[in-house]
Amino acid sequence: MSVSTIIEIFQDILDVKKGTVNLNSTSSDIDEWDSVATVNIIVALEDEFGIKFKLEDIQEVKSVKDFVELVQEHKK
Amino acid sequence: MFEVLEYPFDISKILRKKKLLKRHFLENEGLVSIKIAVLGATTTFELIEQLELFLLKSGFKPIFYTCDYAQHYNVVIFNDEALFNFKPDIVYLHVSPESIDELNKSNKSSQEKAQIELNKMQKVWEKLNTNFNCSVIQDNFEMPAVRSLGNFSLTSNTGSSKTITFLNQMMSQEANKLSYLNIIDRFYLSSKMGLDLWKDYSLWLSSKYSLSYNAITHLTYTLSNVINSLFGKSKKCLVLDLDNTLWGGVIGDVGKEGIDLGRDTSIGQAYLDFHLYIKELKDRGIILAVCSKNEFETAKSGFDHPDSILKFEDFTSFKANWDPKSKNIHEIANEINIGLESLVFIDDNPVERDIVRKEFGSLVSVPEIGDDVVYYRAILDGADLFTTTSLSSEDVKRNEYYKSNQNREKFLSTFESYNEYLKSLKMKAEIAPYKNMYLSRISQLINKTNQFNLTTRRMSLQEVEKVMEEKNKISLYARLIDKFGDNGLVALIQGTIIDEEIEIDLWLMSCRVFKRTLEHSLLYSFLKEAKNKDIKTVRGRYIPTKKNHIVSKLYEEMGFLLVEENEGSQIFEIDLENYSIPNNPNIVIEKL
Repeated sequence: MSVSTIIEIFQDILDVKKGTVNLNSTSSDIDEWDSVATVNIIVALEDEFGIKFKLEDIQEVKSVKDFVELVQEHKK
Repeated sequence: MFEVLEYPFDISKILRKKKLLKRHFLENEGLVSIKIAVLGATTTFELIEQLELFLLKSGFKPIFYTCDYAQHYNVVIFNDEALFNFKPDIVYLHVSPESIDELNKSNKSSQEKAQIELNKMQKVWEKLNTNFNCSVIQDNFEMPAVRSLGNFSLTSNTGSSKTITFLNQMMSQEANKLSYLNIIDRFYLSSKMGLDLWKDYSLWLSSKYSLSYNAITHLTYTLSNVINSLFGKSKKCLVLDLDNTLWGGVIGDVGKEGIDLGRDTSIGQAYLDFHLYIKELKDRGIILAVCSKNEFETAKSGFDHPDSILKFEDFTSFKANWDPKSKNIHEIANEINIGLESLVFIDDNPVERDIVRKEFGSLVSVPEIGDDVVYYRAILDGADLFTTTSLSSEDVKRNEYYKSNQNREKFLSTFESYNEYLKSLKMKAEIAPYKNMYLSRISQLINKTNQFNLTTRRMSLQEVEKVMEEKNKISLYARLIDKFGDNGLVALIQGTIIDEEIEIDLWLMSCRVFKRTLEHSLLYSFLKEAKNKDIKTVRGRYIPTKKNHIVSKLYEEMGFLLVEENEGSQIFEIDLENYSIPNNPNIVIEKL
């Protein structure tokens, strides 16, 4: 699992320029990041890494970093 | 890039590249705007984003109205003002088993529960039809994902599986009766995918999506195909490669005797099944063509193989040579006289598929058929490109028409002059006001005809029905029969009377009968009708498009005078009082 892949997924889905998304980005930093995009990101990450997040985990995530950690946990 | 939207889809890529794809498609010129109201019993955000992509790919620019969560019936019944002002061309009702009240209650029988739900739907459908005169598309239902009655749910008098079975059946009966109602067969799609993949319970809990993202793509694709079909954009012609597509092996190397086809081997059986499937497509009106890199005679001999279901005669166009396939595809479209956007190209070779995609963009459909015959049939079937919302008898006959056209062309080459040829065809035409029995064919012609079409005005089945009822309209259709056979209903003209004038708002003819002078007969009949109604001036309009150049001079040729020109469109008039209507010597009008 690479952090850059996750960042790329964010960039693709939010359709923003390279460099807009970093580990500390949250939905309040990026206009394109709304609740619809969040669902999209979750499904795309699950698809990319062949994992399924727990419902309770998803409710806690705020930043890109939170997503990265969540994926890491599942890939253990 | 857009091949991710060709069946079988690359769903991960679609998800990631949605916005990029959308920007890419929006650069295309000539997109046709359509207004779609998506009324969801559950969340519809993702569905709309994907539907937009599939429709953009087909050349539409959809504009959406959406309702608040689960207000799908209320906005109709209680006349939501925004919906009313939106005036949709199409209303899509997105429902699911979760939206059926009392599905799991045991106080009513399954039949009663289904009937209650159907009654609600009927009210909504009727109201939509009265208010908007639009096409209505509605999902039927997948089986419930969980059943507390277990296997007995289908047999028990109150079971949810039984309720859904009843309801789906009632809905297809209704759709059969109501020409404006179309059903998206969620029941089939979910069975094909399997309910465990079709549903995503955590997505339901977190966002109230009734489907998994995977399922949304499949459902949306079917929906876009139905919309294409309603606007006459279904595919009409299947263009097939030969070696390792219609038989195993390279016929140039192994000869007719060496190709793998028939029950003797399991691979041969798969090719045989593919033949049978293609033959079924042909029998329901899909035109077949061959596009193969081969010597012509060698390629042709493959169909003499004793086990070959498809015969050489089944193909309306047969290109076997060493030219690039893109060139042959252009020629096939010309020969059959249909647009490139009506073609589906099937080839086991990924390089050829890629070349065709590069040459034609998203115009020609190129399903990702792979190179294993075991999957050809399933992939072509899943691609659902020939989907239709009704089968007119013209569809079923289409192949015959094109075949007799070829006979006519051979016949033509034996004549000195074209006029002599026209006389020898012994043409007869039936020209009469629109009739109910021809309704689906009329609407099909209106929505499909691009070349011989003066105004390219599109109309739904309901709008055509209305034209038939209104007193201030003159509408005529023409059928053409000649010594080679019946060409079917092939031309329409339609006008609106205002006081002593009539304006021709629609005049079109199928390319099947170009250069046969039928347009003269049809116009003369129209002018006679107008004269009988004491009309003094007839006005015609030519609105140019990329495809209708062939009729740019038509009004002038018919003796109309140009009176006005604005924004590229031209208005012509004829003074009927001082015009004696001629007869067309080439075509006898049959009395009905």
